[in-house]
Amino acid sequence: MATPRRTRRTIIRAVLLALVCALIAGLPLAAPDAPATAALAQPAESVCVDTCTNVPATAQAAAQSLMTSYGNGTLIIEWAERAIIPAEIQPIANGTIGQTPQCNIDTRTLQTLVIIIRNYGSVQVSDLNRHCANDGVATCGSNPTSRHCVPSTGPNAMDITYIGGARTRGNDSASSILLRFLDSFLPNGSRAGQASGGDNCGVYSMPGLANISRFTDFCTHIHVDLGSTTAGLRNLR
Amino acid sequence: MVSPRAVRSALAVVLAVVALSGCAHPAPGAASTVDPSTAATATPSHPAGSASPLPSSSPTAGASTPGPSTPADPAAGLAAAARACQAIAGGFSAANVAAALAPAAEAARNDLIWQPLTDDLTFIANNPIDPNTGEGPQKTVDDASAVADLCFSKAGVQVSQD
Repeated sequence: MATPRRTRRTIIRAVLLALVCALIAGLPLAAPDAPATAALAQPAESVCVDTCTNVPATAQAAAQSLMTSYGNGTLIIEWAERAIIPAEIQPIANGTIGQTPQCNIDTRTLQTLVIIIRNYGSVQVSDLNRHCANDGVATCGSNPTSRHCVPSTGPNAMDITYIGGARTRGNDSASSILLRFLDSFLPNGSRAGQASGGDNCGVYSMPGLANISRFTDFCTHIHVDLGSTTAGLRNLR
Repeated sequence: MVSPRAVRSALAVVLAVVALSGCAHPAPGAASTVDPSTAATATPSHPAGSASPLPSSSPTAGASTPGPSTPADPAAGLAAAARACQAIAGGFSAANVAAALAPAAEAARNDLIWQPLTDDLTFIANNPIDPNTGEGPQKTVDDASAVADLCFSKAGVQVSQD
């Protein structure tokens, strides 16, 4: 018969093994979202419901909403691409974009930015239509097939560097939270450009998504575009 | 009679096996680490079956099948494909695409899995997107995505789609 001391030792071993198993299997599932949730400025929906209600229906109305957001600091444009406001969003809001059609932006992209601001409180953008606002390096000359440059009727790509004060580098928990949310209303065929894991960006771990596929991108931002689909945003109310 | 110490040892081993085998199965919905072979999921512009998912050492007959004097060489094909992909790593500018054509053709001559690479790059070169207006065929944009996908998944080269 085993002594109580030996029995305790066996139980301790079993508990330690169970803890090792839990560490390996359990923590990666629960850990990624916690820091970004804490960092976000306000409670956010994980599925677009309230924030998808009464979304501006036209490009002009969405751009006007974004101009209001820009005015109150909840739409932030990175300095290198500061021409986004005067060259792209302002003319769409004013109804004068027809004079510079190469500066247009897809209506769905403008609507998506409105929804992101509603949900997270703010968004920082580093790229929309590169024809009329770019950093001089990533241009439509260097990569004319980029969704920041096509289609000619209005590119649909957006590069996002912060949501609600949380940094989005494509391979982090804030990007993961954002992508799950976007997956609830972006049309099927949308795409996300994310870190490949091979460019010193750390471990590349992302949720499974139904409507957004992925391609490799550098981890300075999360790139989102609508691919070639012409379908509207889903689940708008 | 089996000693208590032997029983405890056996119990510890069984517990370890059970625990570790439980760990080996990913939980439903678990986040997954993406590897190069599965990272890009953009749909290629080619019909299914036009490109083998694996390197082929015995290419099927076709217009561009290497002749008897140019036997398939998957290693040389991969090396040439990597050069082609590196030429367009920064994007599909006209100059980059032009520089990628020759190594892409060399890759296809050595291994038919690279035929879509040279076909797509040839189409992109012949049907460019206007960098000033964004005008051009949708197929050019889709082919660029397919090329980037192929370069990353099969040649290990990241090509900009941003």
